[in-house]
Amino acid sequence: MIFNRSKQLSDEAVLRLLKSGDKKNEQKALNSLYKEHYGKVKNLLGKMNANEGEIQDVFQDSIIVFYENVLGGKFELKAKIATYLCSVARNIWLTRFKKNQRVVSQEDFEKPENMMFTEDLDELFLDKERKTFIRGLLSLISEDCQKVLTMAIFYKDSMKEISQKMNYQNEQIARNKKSRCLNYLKNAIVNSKSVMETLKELG
Amino acid sequence: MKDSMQKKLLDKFYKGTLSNKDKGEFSRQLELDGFKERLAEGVIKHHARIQLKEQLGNIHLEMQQAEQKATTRNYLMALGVLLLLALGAAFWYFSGDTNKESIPKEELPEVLFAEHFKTYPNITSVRSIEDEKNNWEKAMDAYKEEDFRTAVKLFSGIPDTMSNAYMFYFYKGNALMSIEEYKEAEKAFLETTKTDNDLKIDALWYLGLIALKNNNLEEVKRIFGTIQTQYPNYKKAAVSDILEQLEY
Repeated sequence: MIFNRSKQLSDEAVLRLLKSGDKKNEQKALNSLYKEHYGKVKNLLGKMNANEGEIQDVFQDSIIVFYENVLGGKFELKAKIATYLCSVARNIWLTRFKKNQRVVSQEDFEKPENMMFTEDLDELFLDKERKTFIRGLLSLISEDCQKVLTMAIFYKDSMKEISQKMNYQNEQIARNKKSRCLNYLKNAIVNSKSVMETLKELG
Repeated sequence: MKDSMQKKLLDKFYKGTLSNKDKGEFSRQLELDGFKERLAEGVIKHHARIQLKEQLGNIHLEMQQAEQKATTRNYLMALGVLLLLALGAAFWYFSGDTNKESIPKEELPEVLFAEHFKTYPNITSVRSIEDEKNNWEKAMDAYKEEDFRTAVKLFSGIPDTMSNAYMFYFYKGNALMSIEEYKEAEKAFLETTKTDNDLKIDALWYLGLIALKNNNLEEVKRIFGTIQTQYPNYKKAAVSDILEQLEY
């Protein structure tokens, strides 16, 4: 496999960039993470009979788990990022394996030492219908609202950070905006007949 | 409903595992602000993950394209090298020595010289009997080791009264040519040609090469012409080639 082997970032640098809250830095860190560790995860999952598409999917989900733990302050650099990603990828793969009714013993599952998963790994994997539904819901609110809510809820940015990124005059404006946007979304969910129907159907 | 119950219900919703009973509960919960907020927050989280995954998908695509490019580049490079080799081999095979046609005429003698000059192999069997023969033996050892400067020095210390002096002049000439002392080499080869011996024709050949090196084309023509006439089988192809290239 001939992947770009240009100089990759150190683990410390990746963490610093991911925590910086800057989109360009995030892209740089994700690029480095992906190119540096994809081969390792591919080797690992390849031995577990995963195909190329499955490996790609699992690897990307592993990076998301890792990233969310970094954002949530739950990741400590006590082991190499590579070790962590391989461990997460292995567990995700085994979860799917189990789902497909292939027998897996509990001992097969590992949790990297001192590293907690933010939530059930299973929750990450949405089917196509749910993805479409979520995209549809988000389209009901403005782009600015999407940004503010994503910063506040997913990236866990403080109101100060949000006000800086969104060029608001102060934190209070950011706080108000977040609250308003969340209400828009809640109302959009409840007031839209089609959304309610889809919600019930999906359930 | 407790928070944990709401969470379970939402988890089931995202996993698509709500039972009919759960669906009823889900509808009822949607009336509650706390549940709606949890759902909205979950939607935001999942949306961010979807976007992140798309971003990662693009990185993967980029990586694959880079890999393909590298593979294609390596493949093309390998193909290019093979093509060049094949073309070179075909050109060499089919054109014979006509490739020299592209060489400027004034450079041709030098090229022909470089192509044909090789030092004569040491085929002597020297045994030391007297002091002067020791030098001969040492000189030939140096010659064999391609230490031509030492060989020339040692050859110069050998008296030319030896019975096989033609041989010593011949090898001395070769050693001198190798260190690009063509004038002295010419003198040595001329000494070899003065007598009738087994190296006379070889000495003549080297004299012809020295003429080539000196770009003395009249002398080249005379010497190689003589070889062609008097020794028609001696380095037949090489002699013909040299004369043809120089259009004689």
